[in-house]
Amino acid sequence: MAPSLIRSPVQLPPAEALAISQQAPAILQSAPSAVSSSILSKEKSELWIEYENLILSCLRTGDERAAHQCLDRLVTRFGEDNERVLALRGLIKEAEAQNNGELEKVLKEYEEILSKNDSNIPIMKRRIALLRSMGRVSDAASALVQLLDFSPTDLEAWSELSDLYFSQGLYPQAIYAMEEVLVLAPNAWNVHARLGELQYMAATASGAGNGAYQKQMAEALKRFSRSIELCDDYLRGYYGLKLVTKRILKDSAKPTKQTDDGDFSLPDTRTIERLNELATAKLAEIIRHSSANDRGWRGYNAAEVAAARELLSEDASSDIKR
Amino acid sequence: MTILSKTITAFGGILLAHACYSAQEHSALHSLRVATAASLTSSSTVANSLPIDVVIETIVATFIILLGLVLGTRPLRPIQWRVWAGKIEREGEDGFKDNNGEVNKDYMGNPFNFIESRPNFVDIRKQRKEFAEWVRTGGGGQSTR
Amino acid sequence: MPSELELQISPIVQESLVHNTRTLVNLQSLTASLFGVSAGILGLESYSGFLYYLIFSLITSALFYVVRVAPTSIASEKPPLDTSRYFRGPVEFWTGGLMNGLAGFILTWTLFYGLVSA
Repeated sequence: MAPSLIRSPVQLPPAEALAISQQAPAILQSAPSAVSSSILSKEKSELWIEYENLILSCLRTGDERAAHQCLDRLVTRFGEDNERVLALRGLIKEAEAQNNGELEKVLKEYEEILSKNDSNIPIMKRRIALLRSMGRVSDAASALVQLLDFSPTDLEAWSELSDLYFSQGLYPQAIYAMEEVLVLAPNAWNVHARLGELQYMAATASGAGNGAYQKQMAEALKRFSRSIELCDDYLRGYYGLKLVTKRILKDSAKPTKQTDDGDFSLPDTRTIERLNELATAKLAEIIRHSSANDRGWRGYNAAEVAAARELLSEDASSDIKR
Repeated sequence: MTILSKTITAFGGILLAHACYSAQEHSALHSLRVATAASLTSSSTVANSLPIDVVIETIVATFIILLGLVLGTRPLRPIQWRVWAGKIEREGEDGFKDNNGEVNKDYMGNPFNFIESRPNFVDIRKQRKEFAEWVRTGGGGQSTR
Repeated sequence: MPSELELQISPIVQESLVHNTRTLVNLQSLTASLFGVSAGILGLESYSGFLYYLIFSLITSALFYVVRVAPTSIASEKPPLDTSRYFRGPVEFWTGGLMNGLAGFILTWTLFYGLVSA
């Protein structure tokens, strides 16, 4: 069964993207090619989202013809200069571009559109994505900051900024941008986990022993704990918790001087040990249920479960060695 | 599930209609009898109570329809954030099906997924390259589902 | 009622709450009309009719609890008759529908009373 088309296909694995784009002819045939915009016609609002997602999948799998067909239908419904239609048209052009010259041309077009209407957010985003794709990261970052000045509540843009900084190794900036997302969506459990991951990576990159390391580890621990508090049986959260507590316990085994940093000091070893045990137990439970394909435990990503299993078996083997 | 609920409701509806018809006939007959009795004697106080079988049929029919309607209600969703989020993560689509086994229209997985997947910032050229790579390394062979 | 801080720590999903309440209200207004029909057929009058409605409404809530709430609620280690997994408070669950359905009940009650005993 192919995954639902209503959800965004960006993160799907290749096999599922292929399955979706193979559905394209059937969907294009079953839906009417022109929908009248009168009240009487039964217009499904999901249909347009489906078309957008279909375009994304088809472009990914190299089926430009179907993508163009979808775009044509969106054009007949929403008109040539709808902001999202413009962005999708640009997306198709990007995908079809053969060399840098053509990409530059697409970029020019974006800038032209923006010079006419500088509040066209979809096109702004496409321009940033294209800049980044072409390797002009600093341009992309400054454009992104401009966009955020203009619309500071754009979660997606903050997250993109965070990812951009992260790809450059600028951990504090990446963490700051992600925290900004959290201000806007305080209950997003995946953002909490992401922030935990960022803190953890920042801590491991800066190296053990100094005060910043302790502080960042403590932060990561808190973030993962909160993500679990917001979401029962959250595999990613428990994975992160396990990783962090393991690392902290390993560090405290060899004597390092504890630098107490006020608010951000780590909880005592006992608590961390208990958190570690909890994470181990929970991960084991999730792996067991998920690999048995139990009813009600089928939502997990197979790759994530495999990674958790690896982490646990690594843990077990190091225990035996000790 | 829904077929079950619909059959039960329909069956109860037939029972209820029958009981209604019986009660109506009974009261018509009764008023006729009262009228004729009144013309013969002058005492018109004959108790107008339904026969016990009609009463039982009505109540049983009500219960059956009630059962059918309750079975036909949509499944509930947890209201506590962590339970609800856990359900999304743990069960995926399975947890959000209606009685027909179809996934709810408004189910969209983790509603905050877009923050990390960022569909408007997608780097389509990179995705195409990765996909081509995947096909080349033999991924295409096993995708005949 | 949970305090502000508790709500910050473990928030409530408004969409789910609306979905659940709507499901329950739909059921209750439907069944209220049904009870009106049967009360009319039985020829109930004055207090006995309202008593009939009250009893059957409670039965509806109980049945709904058994069918929709209990299986998952008990499985997640909640005590019996606890509806906190799906509803805000017990009062809302058990008696919330009484007022919702009353108008529909009286409508069909009088209608069928008139039809049957005409």
